[in-house]
Amino acid sequence: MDTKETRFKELFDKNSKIIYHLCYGYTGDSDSANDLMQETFIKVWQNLDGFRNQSQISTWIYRIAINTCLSYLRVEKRKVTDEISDFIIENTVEPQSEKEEQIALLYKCIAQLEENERIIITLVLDEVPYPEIAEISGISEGNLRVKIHRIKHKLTDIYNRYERL
Amino acid sequence: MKDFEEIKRLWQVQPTEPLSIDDVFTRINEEKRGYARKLLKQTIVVAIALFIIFMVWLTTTFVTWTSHLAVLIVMCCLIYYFSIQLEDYLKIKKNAFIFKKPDEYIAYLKEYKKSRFRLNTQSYQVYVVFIGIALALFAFEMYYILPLFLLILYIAMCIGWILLCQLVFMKQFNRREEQRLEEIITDLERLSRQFLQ
Repeated sequence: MDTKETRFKELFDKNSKIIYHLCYGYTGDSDSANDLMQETFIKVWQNLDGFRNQSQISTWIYRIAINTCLSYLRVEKRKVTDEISDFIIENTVEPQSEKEEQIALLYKCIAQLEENERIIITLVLDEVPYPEIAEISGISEGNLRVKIHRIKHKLTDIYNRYERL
Repeated sequence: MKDFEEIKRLWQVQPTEPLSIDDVFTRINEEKRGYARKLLKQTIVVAIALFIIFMVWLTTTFVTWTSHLAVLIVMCCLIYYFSIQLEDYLKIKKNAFIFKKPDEYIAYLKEYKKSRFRLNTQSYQVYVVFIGIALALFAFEMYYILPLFLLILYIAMCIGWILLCQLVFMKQFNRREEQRLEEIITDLERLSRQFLQ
């Protein structure tokens, strides 16, 4: 295997799960998440030679994923507003076990958040370091911390509200 | 009642089944072949068109020198069109803008929108003017070999075609493309505003 393929494979192994979660959180269905993940890594492959360590490579990959999500939603002619939330809720896979039920509920709750909040919270849940999330979203770390605090509360409230139902 | 840490633990135990790297490589190879096929098809079409025009030029005895100039202009227009398509293809394939920061990405798309507008208006005008000149030059040839009513028909069809392209097809194309880019920019600007709130 040549160097480019080896490097790509390492990047894929390290980041594919987080990218999949990010895309799943954003679109709300597994097939779309896989499509978007694939699209993201195709772009990573195409630009791998041009990447000169301007920032951490994972930051670069997350950014590609976010831009890809937005473009995908536009192509699919879905409005990225409340309609998306409805789409996510309607397309959530029927859960099999209690754990799966809770996870499905969590995705429903994430769907209630605003787009930027969905992106931030999925990265937080996957334990991406704060400076990296700030770099991806183009805001200061201080501002980000305030946002994360707010989103955590919002998500917890929504989750507990749904769970009580 | 769950707190955020419990939600986080729940998130981390979710079964994740993303695609394998082999699927990604299969798609990469398919895309490569797709791009290559598209480019090859365009190259063949342009090459055939150039060859036919060139053969017509070689085998036909034109009455006036203006016809030679008309053929030359049409060939230059074809090469110009092909080079623009190729340049655009390479730019899209490179895709380097996709990893820019949100605000830089928006700025890039705005600039791209302007450049596409320039290409679709100014460059297209230049293209139309030259094709128009070529058709007009060829009309001199027609003047010597065609009866008057056919000459008038030729001129009318040329003018009609140019007007149709200019007023209908080009406007539709510009509107579609502008709308497509505007949607991306609007989406990104909304997201960017949300981040800054």
